[in-house]
Amino acid sequence: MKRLLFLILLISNLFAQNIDVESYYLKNGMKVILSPNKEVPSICLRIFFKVGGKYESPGTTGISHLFEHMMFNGSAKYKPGMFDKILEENGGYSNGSTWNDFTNYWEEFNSNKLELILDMESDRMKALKLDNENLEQERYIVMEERRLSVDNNPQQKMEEELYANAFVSHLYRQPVIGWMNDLKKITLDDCKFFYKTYYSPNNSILILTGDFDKNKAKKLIAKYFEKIPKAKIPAHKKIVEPDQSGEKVITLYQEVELPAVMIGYKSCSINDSDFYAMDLLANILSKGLSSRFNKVLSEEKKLITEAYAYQDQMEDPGLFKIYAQARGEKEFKNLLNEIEKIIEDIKTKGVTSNELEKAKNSKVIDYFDYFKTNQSLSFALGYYEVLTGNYNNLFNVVEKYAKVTSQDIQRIAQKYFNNNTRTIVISKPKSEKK
Amino acid sequence: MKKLIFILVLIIISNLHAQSISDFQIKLLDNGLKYVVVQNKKLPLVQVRVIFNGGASLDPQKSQGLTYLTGQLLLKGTTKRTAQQIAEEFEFLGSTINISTNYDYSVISTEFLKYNFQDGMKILSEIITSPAFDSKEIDKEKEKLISELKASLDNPTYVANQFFNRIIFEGHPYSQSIRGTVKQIEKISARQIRNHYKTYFLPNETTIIFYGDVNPGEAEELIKNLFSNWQKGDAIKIIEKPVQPQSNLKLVLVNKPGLTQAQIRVGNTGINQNNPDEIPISIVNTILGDGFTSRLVEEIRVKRSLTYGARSSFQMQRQSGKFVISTFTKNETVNEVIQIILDELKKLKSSGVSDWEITKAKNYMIGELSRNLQSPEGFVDYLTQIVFYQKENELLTNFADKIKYTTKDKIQKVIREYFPEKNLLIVVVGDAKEIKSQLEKLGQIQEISYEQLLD
Repeated sequence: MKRLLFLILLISNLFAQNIDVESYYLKNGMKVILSPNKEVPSICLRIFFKVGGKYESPGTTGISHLFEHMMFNGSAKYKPGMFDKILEENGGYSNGSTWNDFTNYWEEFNSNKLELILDMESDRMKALKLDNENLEQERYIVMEERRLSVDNNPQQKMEEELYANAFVSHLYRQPVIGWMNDLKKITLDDCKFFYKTYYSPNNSILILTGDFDKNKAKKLIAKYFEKIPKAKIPAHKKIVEPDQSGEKVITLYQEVELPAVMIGYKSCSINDSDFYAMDLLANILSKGLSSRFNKVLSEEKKLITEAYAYQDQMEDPGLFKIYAQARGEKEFKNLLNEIEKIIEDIKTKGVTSNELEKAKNSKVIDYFDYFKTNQSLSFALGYYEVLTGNYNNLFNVVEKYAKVTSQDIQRIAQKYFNNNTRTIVISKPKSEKK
Repeated sequence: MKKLIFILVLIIISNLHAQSISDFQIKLLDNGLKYVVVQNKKLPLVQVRVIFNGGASLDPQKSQGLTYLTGQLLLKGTTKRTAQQIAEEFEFLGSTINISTNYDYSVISTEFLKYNFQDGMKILSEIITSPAFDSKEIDKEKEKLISELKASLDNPTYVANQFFNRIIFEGHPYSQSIRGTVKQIEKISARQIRNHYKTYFLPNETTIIFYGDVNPGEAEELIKNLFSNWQKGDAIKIIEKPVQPQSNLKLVLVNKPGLTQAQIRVGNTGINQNNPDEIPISIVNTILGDGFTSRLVEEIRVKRSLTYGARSSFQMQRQSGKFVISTFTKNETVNEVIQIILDELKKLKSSGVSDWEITKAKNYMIGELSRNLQSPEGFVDYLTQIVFYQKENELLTNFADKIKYTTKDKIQKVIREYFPEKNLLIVVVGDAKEIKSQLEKLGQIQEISYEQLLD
């Protein structure tokens, strides 16, 4: 079985080495990453900005995401609404997403439209139409987005409470979509300050994947982006979360049918050498029918409808999350105890070599997802560049998983699964509130 | 070892530029099993789909969920291996397996690393041809499904879609719940499940699709080895029943207390999978409600900030389909949003669409489709639709021309024929005490509780 993993490692490395990627900086400090291929006659253009939820000051939570919406509503050369209309009439489409550590925008379009799209992207980077009309339009749309994805979604509500309570100092405590009361109060001046501060070329990375000629692309990127002046970006103060010295438990009474629990253990960053062992452990706990959670909590004890374990992939130390929904009140009573037993077992005995190999093989299949489309590759390159400081780290991921041993898993389980550094959110039906 | 590396490098380099979409052939084993193999060596992966004809339409009215439950139980042990052994051995390959059921078919989806393809297919063939249906496993699966059905009620989007379906296809198997209801699942017996498998999960009603880094000759050999002994049976007779379109305005309020945002569905019956006008209808639907620049997005989201998303779609099945507009808004503006939707449907009917809108929609559709087909999952799922519903191969190999050469006359004609204006079914899921008085202005309301989904 070891041979299998070796072969997989070999293939994925060789494969990765054959992806054509080149990077350089423009004079204004903007980083450019190019990865051409001719699979389909289209291009994905993506821009990452190093700003997101963790950069927001209290009272303006959600501004990164709200601003992401505002970026589609007109700039000096292109009137409101034109951005998407031009893209769609040229066979393209665009979107954006905001995370704790970054914000990113992408467009996919026919290969012969590169210059047009670079013009539109650069125009909104240097001269976005920032007025009250734009702000008010998107403010109410984002409030609907929040109602959809958090306020009327019991599981998301638990997650929001988990982060808000697990972190006292680090701004991972703030929801990326923003608190409703903050969304109501963000001003145009807040937005202008935000734009001026973070949306400059030297705070961004431009990535092109797909069917383009490298030399032509370089000339066009220089033509449209190099003249945008760089800005002074305030140094981002790295917040170190103080040690948690006791378990926190929050109970939410919601309009739900079934009770559930979410546990967050203080964990590590994507750049920590422990990350890969933690990520494999999440896989061993909850991926597939042969996972520990499914075997014990569902098949054997019949306690849950679903459960997952997830290691955050963030620039600063995040959480190792466990979520489980019980089949009823009776089952809920034993649920936390049974989860703890599984964790205790791993702390004392580690995992089997079979479990570990299985998790590694699963990670290899998942790894190829990055290379399936122009869109997924452009995201992966930017993601590793922003979070780890170098997109080349994308190409040694499999090797890092491969090196993890069963002893590593046991060690990290002992290190991070500590009741004093965990936060528990319990969700119960409102009818049970006494 | 060096030599091995060298060969691998060569293979990989030569494969990086994937071939363009090629035509495909459906082949047949003696027992009637159909299979399709499409090779693409870009990544060392193989996508597998196993499609069983029938789907939830086979479920008796009083045993809804039977096909779904039978499908899930395929994974719960074979005559040779226990459920746990199957899971361990299959998942050791790095793959996961998923079985989903719709009204027309059940489908097993998985993906293998090319090196594990043969081993994985051996286990998969055992799952398909010799499931154990052990009584204990059946009880466990039923119990789990019942609690999952309860949990789904927390999702307003799910509740809205379920009720829309129930009402628009009333009297037809398409109105039934694919995963069943709590009360009906409780009553399904082990014998029913075993019989259901024996009667309907047959080689002559199954299609296997491979897509990825797989040699067609080897794949064919493998299929012959693994599936030739699978015994054929009597062909499935799907009872075709007519679907009656909604013939008057029907307004249903599904009360779910505590919601601060209401889910809205507006529509009627639509078209089936083999409707020759699918492309012109899709062009008009794109103009009305697909993408970020559709009329619905423009009117509800961009101009008035009343929602985060609005879309319309024709969801097609073998016998019929539905046309549905989906959106959501805060309690205070439910009526306003419904009014905008009704106005847009009227406007489409009375004023048609512009040349610019047609061009934009056509280009957008061609771009979307070609991007979707770049992902292996996107490609194989689209191929599944074409093969299963016996659609023209041209929809895969020449879709761009088919879209491009659709005339404006044809487009105006499908607006008249297929897009509803009056006689709509409107389903709203929300907190009745907050929104009922608004809705009453639209007409007579039928109020029901979301908990009825359990029955």
